Amino acid sequence: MSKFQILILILLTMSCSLDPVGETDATKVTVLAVLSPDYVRQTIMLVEGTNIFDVDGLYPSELDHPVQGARMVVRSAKQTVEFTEVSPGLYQDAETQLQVVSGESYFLEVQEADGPELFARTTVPGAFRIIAPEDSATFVIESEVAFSWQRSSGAGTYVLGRNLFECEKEFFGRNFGFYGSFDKTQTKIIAWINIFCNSSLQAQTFKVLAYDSSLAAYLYSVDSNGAPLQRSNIDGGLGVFGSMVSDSLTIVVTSQ
Amino acid sequence: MKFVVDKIKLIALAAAVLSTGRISAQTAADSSTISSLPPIERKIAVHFSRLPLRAALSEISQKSQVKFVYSDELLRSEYRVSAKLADKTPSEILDEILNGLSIGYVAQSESQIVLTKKNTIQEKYGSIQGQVLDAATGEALSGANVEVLGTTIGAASNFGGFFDLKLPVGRHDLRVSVIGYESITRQQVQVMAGKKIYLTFRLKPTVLQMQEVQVTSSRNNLPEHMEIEPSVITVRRSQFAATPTVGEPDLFRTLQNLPGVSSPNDYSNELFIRGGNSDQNLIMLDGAVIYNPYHLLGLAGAFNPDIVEQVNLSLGGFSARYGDRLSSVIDVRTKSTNGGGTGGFGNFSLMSSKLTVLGSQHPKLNWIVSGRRTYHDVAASLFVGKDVPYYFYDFYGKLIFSPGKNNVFYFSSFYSRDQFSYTDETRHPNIEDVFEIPTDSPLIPDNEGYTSRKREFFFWNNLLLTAHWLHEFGANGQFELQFSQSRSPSDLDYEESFSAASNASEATRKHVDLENQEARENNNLEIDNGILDRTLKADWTLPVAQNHKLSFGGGLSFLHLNYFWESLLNEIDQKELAVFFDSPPDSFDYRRNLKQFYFYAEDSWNVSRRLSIRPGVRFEKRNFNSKWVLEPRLNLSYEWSDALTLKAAYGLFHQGLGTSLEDGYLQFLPLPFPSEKDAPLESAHHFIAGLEWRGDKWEFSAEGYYKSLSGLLKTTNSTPEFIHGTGRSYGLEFGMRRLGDRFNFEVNYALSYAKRKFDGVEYYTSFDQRHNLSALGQYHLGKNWLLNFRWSLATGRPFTSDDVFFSSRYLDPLTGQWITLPGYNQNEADFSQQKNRFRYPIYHRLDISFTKRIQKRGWALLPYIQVVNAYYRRNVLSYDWGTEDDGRLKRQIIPMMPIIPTFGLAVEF
Repeated sequence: MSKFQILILILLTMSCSLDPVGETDATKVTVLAVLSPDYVRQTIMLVEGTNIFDVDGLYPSELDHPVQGARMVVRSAKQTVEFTEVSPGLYQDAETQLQVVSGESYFLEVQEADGPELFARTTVPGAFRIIAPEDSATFVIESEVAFSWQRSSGAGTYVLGRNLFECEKEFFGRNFGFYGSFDKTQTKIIAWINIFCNSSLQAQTFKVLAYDSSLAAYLYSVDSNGAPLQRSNIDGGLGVFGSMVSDSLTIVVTSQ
Repeated sequence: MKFVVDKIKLIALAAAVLSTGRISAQTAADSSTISSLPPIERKIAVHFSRLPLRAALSEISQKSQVKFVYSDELLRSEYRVSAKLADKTPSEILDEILNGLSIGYVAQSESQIVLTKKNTIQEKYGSIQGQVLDAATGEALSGANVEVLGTTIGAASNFGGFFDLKLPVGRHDLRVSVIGYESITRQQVQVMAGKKIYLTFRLKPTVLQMQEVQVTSSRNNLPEHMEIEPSVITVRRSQFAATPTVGEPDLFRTLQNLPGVSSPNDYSNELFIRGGNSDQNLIMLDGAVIYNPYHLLGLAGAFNPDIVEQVNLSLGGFSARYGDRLSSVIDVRTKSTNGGGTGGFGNFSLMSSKLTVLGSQHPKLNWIVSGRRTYHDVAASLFVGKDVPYYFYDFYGKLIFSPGKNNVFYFSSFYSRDQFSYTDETRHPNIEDVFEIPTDSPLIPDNEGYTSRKREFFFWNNLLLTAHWLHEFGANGQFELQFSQSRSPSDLDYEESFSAASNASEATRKHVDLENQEARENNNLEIDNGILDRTLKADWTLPVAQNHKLSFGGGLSFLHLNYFWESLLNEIDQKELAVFFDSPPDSFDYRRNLKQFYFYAEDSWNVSRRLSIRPGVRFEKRNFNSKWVLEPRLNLSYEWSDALTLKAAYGLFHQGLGTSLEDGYLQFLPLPFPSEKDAPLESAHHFIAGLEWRGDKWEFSAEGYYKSLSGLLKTTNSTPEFIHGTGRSYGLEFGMRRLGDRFNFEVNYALSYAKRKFDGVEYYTSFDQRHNLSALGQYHLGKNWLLNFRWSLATGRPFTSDDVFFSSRYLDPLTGQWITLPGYNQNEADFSQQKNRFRYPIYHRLDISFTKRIQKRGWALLPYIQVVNAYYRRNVLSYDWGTEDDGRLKRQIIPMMPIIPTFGLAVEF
């Protein structure tokens, strides 16, 4: 074999790999936090994920692990509250309750034990009321109900849903049933009143949630293929530091 | 002008630029030395007063080396003549001094003039005009030697293959020869006094010619204004046909083989030239700008290669006559003539059919019509049983009218259409099919039904109309006037609707109504875009002084942009348009009427026999931008020796409309936007230097370039507002070509860097391929079998992939807790700092084709088979992630083209 043929063989062999080449120093630490006046305690989760080219062979449950021992502080114009780690990766305002108020801005600072600092900000959307239907109104099952609500200043997305009953929770695996999410300019929707199990012919509690723009972007962005893609507002990290306000009403559902 | 070119000069001309202008430049030497011009072209000065004609002729002969032949009887009368002339040829001096006399003259060769009585000229001479063509393709052959055997009289055919001879009355034997073709001798051609006869010579290519023409790109037959430029390549029609490809021979895929030219992937025809975006290329067909030069979402070029005579590609530093683009000029020139009679060629394959017919029933009138249509829709349905509701077709027509020797009129029209039309109607027996309601729910009756209907209709067109007048002033230059209209409309409609069965329950009807409302508000989509460009331009070329040729001209363009869409709430559709906007609006109605004006001037100056320079300047003004711009241009060419030429160029370029495309997306809906009011125009400086060496069988070229860019557009979250950035690209390119009897090949290597900088962050572009090596060749196997191959090796392209994976979590809004679910999520990292940090693996691919030529009387069959990606290299287009059966994640490769064999049949008649 001539030297030229050997060189070609080496080149072809070297070029057989189908793996990408490169490095990244992108952070993998993620903050998951939603502040709301509805919550007695505010909870912030801190986890670290896995880089995209290191996930081969891992189960989804192995993709992230909690980040422990971080110092976490939330500041507002009136308060500075240090969050306490109540379980691995889970931090709460356990010692001093953080007062979350509509229209107020809150600043998050996270300092990991061996990592960079993370910063974020959220402004709680303004309070609003559901205008229609009237509280305790009665509707026949399978009828359409027009919901409308006031505009909430600073809202990025509205969500309509209702608290699920026990038989529904078992089926859907969650507490809250979503009817849909709507652009911030939309304050009316017609929903079809349905049930999924016989025991639901009773009062149903509907909620309209107003998410701030950061939370909306995190939950409802999609990539070029239409797959969910979480857009982050964490400076120096990933995830979301968002806020939410809501209003609710109860309607009575009858069989006819 | 008549002159004889011997075979040695013909070889040199075939390897260099074939242009009478260039020859003049080479031989228009410093007048103080012995000129290398033919005696009959030499410019001399004379000053005599009432000198005997004989003595005057002697002085002219002494100064120019022209020999005068005349009978003593003719000059028996003692004519006395006067003249005070400078910088005139012998013919021009004779015109002056013989004015009013009964003596005339005929130039019989480059060094001999015959004087005779004026009426004798008409009585004793006739002329033969004609054209020399390639018998196989009908293409005009320039530089063909037309000899009158037994004399020193002859001529060479010009760019269009035409020649003109003035001969004494009588019978003559003519022989026509050119390198690579079998010569033809026509005996006993009768020349009659005062008459013209017209002859056409069709030369058959030899094996050598088939190999030479088809393999390599070259600088042959360049327009005169491109000759001095360093980064110019000409690609002929025969090269498109020789390049193995999938289905259709393709103009742009052939250009992707050239150094400095790359594409984002196997599926795209977009051209990224020396680190420039694809929208920075000025692409013209017959001089008209075309805005969407692709079929099949960029998979194929819009031009049928059969209508193309050649493509002149300037990779940078181009002439001041071109502008409003930052990167390159791709000047597609269509076929002009078949030189008499009717002929053509066709091609029929699995995926398409096309036919081109050329005719010339009169020497003054030539025409060409061409059409093709793909039938992916029919083939897919027949062979794989799938419905692929897509096809494209295009038509081209051209009329060439030459009323006189100095005037040519061209009228051409090009129409292309891509169409996707899909309608699906599905009957759904139960509503739980769609709404995922538990089947045991008591509210869902059995045997309920509804129908869903989806209609998708998408088309995009090109329509070009051009009218062109070319007037030759002979040795005094030429004038061109052109009007063109280019339209590129596109339209997309997506509509969903639902209807309930007549016996549907109330529940079903309500569900259907809700879905219709949802579809109307959120899913249905209408997009309607269009670009209209009307341009009038004029160009003059005039020799103004010794060794100076001035070119100047100008143009006025009227553009109308019309971009409209409605109901773009569906986020998937939004993302398809995200190449233009980071977050496109739900509705968009954008209209602009724009005007652009330019004027340019440049001087082609032959400083010496070796050194030529071309300084130029271009002025541009746009009614939508406050700035007017002045663009200096400079080209230099120095002939170190007969084989070695050094070239350099500098230029400043601006662009008024940009698409903000950077990441190599398919050209789904090209939407150029103007830089309006006080916004900076996109601009670029080009610095280029290189050399070319040409031997008998080898050619070598090396070139370095540096481009700095500014004012580059990038989308924001608002529409249509842009931020502006900078960029730079630089590199070295090397090319080597071997022209052999049986085996020809070409190897190109490019080392290149392409960067952009926005918001202070610099990164490599997605088309930055650091190393790019290509080898293409042709081997004559014997018995008219031909093997063509192309092998490419390149560094992987950069991409951004700093996503981080997490377990999937759901926000419980009632508690604020994040509940872990089965599955995983991806978080998008801050790519502004991490953009394009990764590279795909090395790319390489081999394409081969075999063609057999079966020549019959007057026509030929060429069956062929092609294999793309012959050793099935799984080049990576992108990565995707999924889960295995046991739930573990796995990275999957989305490959580029697999191994694809195609076969077909070409016909020439």
